[in-house]
Amino acid sequence: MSTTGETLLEVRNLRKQFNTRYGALIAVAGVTFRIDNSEIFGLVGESGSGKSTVGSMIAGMYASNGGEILYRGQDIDKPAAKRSQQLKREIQMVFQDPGGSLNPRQTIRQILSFPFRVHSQSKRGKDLENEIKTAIGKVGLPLSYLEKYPQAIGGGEKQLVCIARALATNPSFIVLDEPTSALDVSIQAKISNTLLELQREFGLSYLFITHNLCLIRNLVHRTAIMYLGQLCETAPTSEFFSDPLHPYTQMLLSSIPVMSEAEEQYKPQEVKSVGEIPNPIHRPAGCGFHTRCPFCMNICKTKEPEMVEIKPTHFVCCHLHKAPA
Amino acid sequence: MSDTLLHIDTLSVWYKVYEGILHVLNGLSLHVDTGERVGLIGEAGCGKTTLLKTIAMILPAPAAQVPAGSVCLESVDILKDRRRGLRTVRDNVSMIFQDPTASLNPTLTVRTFMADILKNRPQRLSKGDKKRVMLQALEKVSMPSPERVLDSYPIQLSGGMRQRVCIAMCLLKDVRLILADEPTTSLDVTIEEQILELLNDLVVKGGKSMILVSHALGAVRKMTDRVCVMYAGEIIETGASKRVFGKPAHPYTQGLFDATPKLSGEGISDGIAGELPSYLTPPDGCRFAPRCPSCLPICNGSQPSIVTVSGAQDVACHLYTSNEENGE
Repeated sequence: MSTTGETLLEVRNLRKQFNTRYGALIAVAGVTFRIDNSEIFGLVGESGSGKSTVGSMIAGMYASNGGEILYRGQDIDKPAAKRSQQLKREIQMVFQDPGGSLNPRQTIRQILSFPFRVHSQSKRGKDLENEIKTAIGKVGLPLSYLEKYPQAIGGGEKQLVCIARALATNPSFIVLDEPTSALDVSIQAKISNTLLELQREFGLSYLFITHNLCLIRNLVHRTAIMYLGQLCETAPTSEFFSDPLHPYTQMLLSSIPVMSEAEEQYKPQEVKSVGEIPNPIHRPAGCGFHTRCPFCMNICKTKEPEMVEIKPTHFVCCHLHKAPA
Repeated sequence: MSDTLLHIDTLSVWYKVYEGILHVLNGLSLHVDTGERVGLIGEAGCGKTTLLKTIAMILPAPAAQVPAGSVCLESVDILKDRRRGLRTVRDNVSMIFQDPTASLNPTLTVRTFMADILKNRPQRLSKGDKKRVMLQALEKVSMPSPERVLDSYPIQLSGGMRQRVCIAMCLLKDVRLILADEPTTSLDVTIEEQILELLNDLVVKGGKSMILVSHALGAVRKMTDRVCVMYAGEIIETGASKRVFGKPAHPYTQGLFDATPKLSGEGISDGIAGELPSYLTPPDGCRFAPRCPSCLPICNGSQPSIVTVSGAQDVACHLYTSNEENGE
């Protein structure tokens, strides 16, 4: 659970706007963070907060409307079609719905052979066969699964196949877009542990997108909270749970239904959940959260707060918190 | 908490499919008292929804069969006397489904849904009264601007608002039992809290009973008096919620709770190995035996009977039966 402290990926003031029938939808409105080598970085937020959009832009699904994405210091802010083969190998993605991301007409062998045929030297014959066997072995599935179709295996196993496919190109960075939210808890535990083991074994970095804060607590090194296209708070996970500063973070933490009295004590003093996330087409002026914030002041309604570093590595974006002088 | 509202006795439900017969529910017994909130937890595919559908009498007709058992609601056996059963169920039970988007017809306005329910009231309401009743129901679920919502289509509402509409529709009739089938699974955590709190308030204040099915174990712990843990069509453990969550007895319950990531951050266990057995050929003995970490030789041959451990916790597991024979 340690990072080397070397920056792998840096996102600076990233913006994305979708033009819809009803007007401009600003999905990501200036997001800045960095991910170190061998680090698991968690991105949390409600649906519609833009967290998947950030992940998709890093994976190259579409280009941004401003800002920079730097990977090992090199600007990669362009769609996958324009990226180099090398870069496509380096950055991979695992999606939320394992059923939807595997071709139902191909066997697991065919699905897993594709990344090798595109990216690897061993394109056919014995070499390819060996590569596929290694790939499925990495996630702990038996070889007999190679002949099966996705519909014949369970949801958790499908997700393991997706992870094996992502690992096939030897990436150093994987975007995990809610990899376990479609699965049962007992399977979720298995997948999370597999992901952790792989991370340690190969020194991978993850961008872990989820809405499950309990998972964040157990998996992630550093966490960022996203609300309405902006980051509210970024902190190392342990500090994030012991000393949440942003009112939205406090609301999120106090909303988690927990299973024991012992966990109850990890929740901050009750900040009652009210209202819903506003429509990103009609963003409220000032701070995006002021419509639901229990501590809303006049300044919040007019002026957007800025990200300040309250403690080393603990950033928060709220008018309540001023940078230490 | 005195009289029994719903009493289910050794209920079995089978589905006829191309490959054969799926033995889903297997001799399941459950009772719900007036004013009691019962939680139902278990993995996907363990028969929770089938159970709720049986109670609501909406099982898909030719495919599903009920070979044994009885479901008594207000002392009417709804399986035997279907005619009276339907009447009783429609008067006393209402169900909230998992996906509010799929359970609201996209081509109708909220007003139409609600008017449809009011149509079946014994006494006819005037137009003004109808509107007043609808608005009241929407206000009870703390819906912002109910007047506007009444004339909206589901697509114009957010997920949380849609689920509020579904709950408001439940309130139009003075039902005694609410079946909530994962009412918050499709919602965000902050909205989930709001909806659960609302539902809890309505149930407690209205003196209604509720069966809450949920994957959010924490929510079940907070909102129910008694919890039943289901595995492969059987209830394997039941007891007061505080007790079961504090000290789970059945190996499956223990595994399930261990697999849930905790806020205290002590890491995640490896989950429970294996998967649900096939309902086509379920195991003869305990259905959990093939996955059970503490499986005994007896488990593969005979079904465990229900034993009460530590006072008020009923467990169906051979670990406890053999203990008792040995005099604890």
